[in-house]
Amino acid sequence: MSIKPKKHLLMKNNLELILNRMIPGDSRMPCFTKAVKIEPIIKKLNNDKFLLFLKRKQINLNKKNWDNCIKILENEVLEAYFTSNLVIRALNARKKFLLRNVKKENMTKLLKKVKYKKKIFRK
Amino acid sequence: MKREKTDILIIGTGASGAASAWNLSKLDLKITCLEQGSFVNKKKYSFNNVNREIYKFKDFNIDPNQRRFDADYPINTENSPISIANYNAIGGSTLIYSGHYPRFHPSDFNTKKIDNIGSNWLFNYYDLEKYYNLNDKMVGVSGLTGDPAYPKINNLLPPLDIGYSGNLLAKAFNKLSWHWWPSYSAVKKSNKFKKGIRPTAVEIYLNKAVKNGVVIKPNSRVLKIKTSSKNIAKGVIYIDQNNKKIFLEASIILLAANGIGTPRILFNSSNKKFPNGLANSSGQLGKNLMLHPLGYVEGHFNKFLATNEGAEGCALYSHEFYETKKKRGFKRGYTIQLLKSPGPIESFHYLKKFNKIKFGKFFLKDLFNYFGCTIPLAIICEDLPDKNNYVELDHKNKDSSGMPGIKVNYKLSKNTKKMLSHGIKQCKKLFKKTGAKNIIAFGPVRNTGWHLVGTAKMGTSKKNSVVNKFGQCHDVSNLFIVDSSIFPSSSGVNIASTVQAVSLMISDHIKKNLTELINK
Repeated sequence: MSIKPKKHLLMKNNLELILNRMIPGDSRMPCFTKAVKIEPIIKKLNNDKFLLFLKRKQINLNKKNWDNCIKILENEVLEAYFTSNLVIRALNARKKFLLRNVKKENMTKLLKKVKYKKKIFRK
Repeated sequence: MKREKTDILIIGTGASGAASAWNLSKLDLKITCLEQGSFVNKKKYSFNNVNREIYKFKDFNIDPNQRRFDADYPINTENSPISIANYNAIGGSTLIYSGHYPRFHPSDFNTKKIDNIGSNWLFNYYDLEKYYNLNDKMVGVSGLTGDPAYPKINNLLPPLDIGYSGNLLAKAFNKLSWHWWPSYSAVKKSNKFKKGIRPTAVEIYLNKAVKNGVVIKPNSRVLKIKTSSKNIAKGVIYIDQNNKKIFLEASIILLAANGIGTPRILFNSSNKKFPNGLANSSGQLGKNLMLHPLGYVEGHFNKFLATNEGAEGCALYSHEFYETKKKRGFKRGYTIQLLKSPGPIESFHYLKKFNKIKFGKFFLKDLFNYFGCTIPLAIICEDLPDKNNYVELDHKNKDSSGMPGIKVNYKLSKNTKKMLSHGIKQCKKLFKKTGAKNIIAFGPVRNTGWHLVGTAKMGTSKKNSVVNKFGQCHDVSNLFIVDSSIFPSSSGVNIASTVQAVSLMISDHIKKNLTELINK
């Protein structure tokens, strides 16, 4: 579908708005458009009706429209976001931060704490 | 029909077919493997592929009825609380298995003798030990020697990290004085690949077999095994990748198509002499299906424990309840396995099912309340043989070649139900010792029919069984079954290690008796 530049920009902005509303990010995780380039998503969207919706100057994200957006974008959003390098790095940094004070005991020491008196298998 | 010729034909290239292919490849004979699936790029199924979580829902969906690839065949599980999981490709289901690699217990080979239930094998753990050791060496199994649940197992690679969740659980096991041990895994530690390297049947056996001259034909589906009037298998009719029917003549045929695929081929090969399925004069073909019913218990914690990381299949396990104890009210037992929790995408789908997550302002908060904060435990129950649990051809649903699919008729026995509920109760007790905030439990889990056992069982005569102790069909002497269909009992552990050890043992027997077999 060929779209004029102005309309394309409008569509892109609207899509960005929706995607960032879906995953707005937090103090440790980026919002969607910070992590993922959206041009490939636009290319993948093959739904004429949805593209028309995105070309509106003021999109109305009432419950019905919002649910429809999620239905169309859900899988794409999840896959693109959680496989983006930035998100993978953010998840690792989050893990390091949250586990900074959690200590692991040595496995061999833990095993020694159980005194097995006899073999527990039967022949 | 075009005709081809080979000395030894192997049907299926999964765990068992691959092991036999390699073992026999040292012979100076023409060996051909037919596989209904195609070759899959290693990068795609690697643990370290960033898209692996996505593939689990698509190309590597474990349910053939959802994948519906040309290589798949329909498996009707309307009459079963457990659906079948498999993968049809070169390397078979090892492309998507977790790599948990325990052996059977010595008692698993003697359930009739010890517990007066099920059937005995015609060999024991110690007869198979040599092949377990060989297979472990080929695979590279991580673990720790000294496990009191087994006879001594040597030459293991260093055990995998049990992670934060393993640490927490190990302490709880210790408080209860229950057995636990770091898992046996077909996963090697690697600095380059943080999740470790999990070899499949392709890397362990098939690549080596091909180097030795074995020919593998992908996208080649066997329709029928043809026999002579003297009950000797002459060869097979298969459909090749160009959709052409070919007759492949062979002196020895090995069936390695798993506990569902093997009876399917034998049923479809029925003839005047064997109207109820080839090699089925006992009437046992397709019967005694065992599936390892699985219970699931999940502990939810207030803190992040990175439970989504660590060993893919099982970080540690317990055999505290593996052997029969009269007071429990059921015979035989189960394994408790510590699994890893799902990644972010799978976590989302799980939460969505229970309406616990929505896109928007609280999306990440809701996700991170679950992701990495839950410890999943699996209870793998030993299933007992029952002639009323069986598979049959499903003529209503056919595969892409027009061959009938398969129908599974299966019910949980009273013994299994008691075992499941005992397992769930014990896991809850364990989680209470860890300080879990919430515990949820259910079972049997539907989509867990990985381990397909018992449908062409071994026995002493053609009156009571399909094959002898060497997987040789009583009715057709040059036809061997090398997969888990011949197991008379299921054990309470993952079967991959035993499947491959048995396959190596049978192929060794074929090597030793080659002249006699070929001359038939």
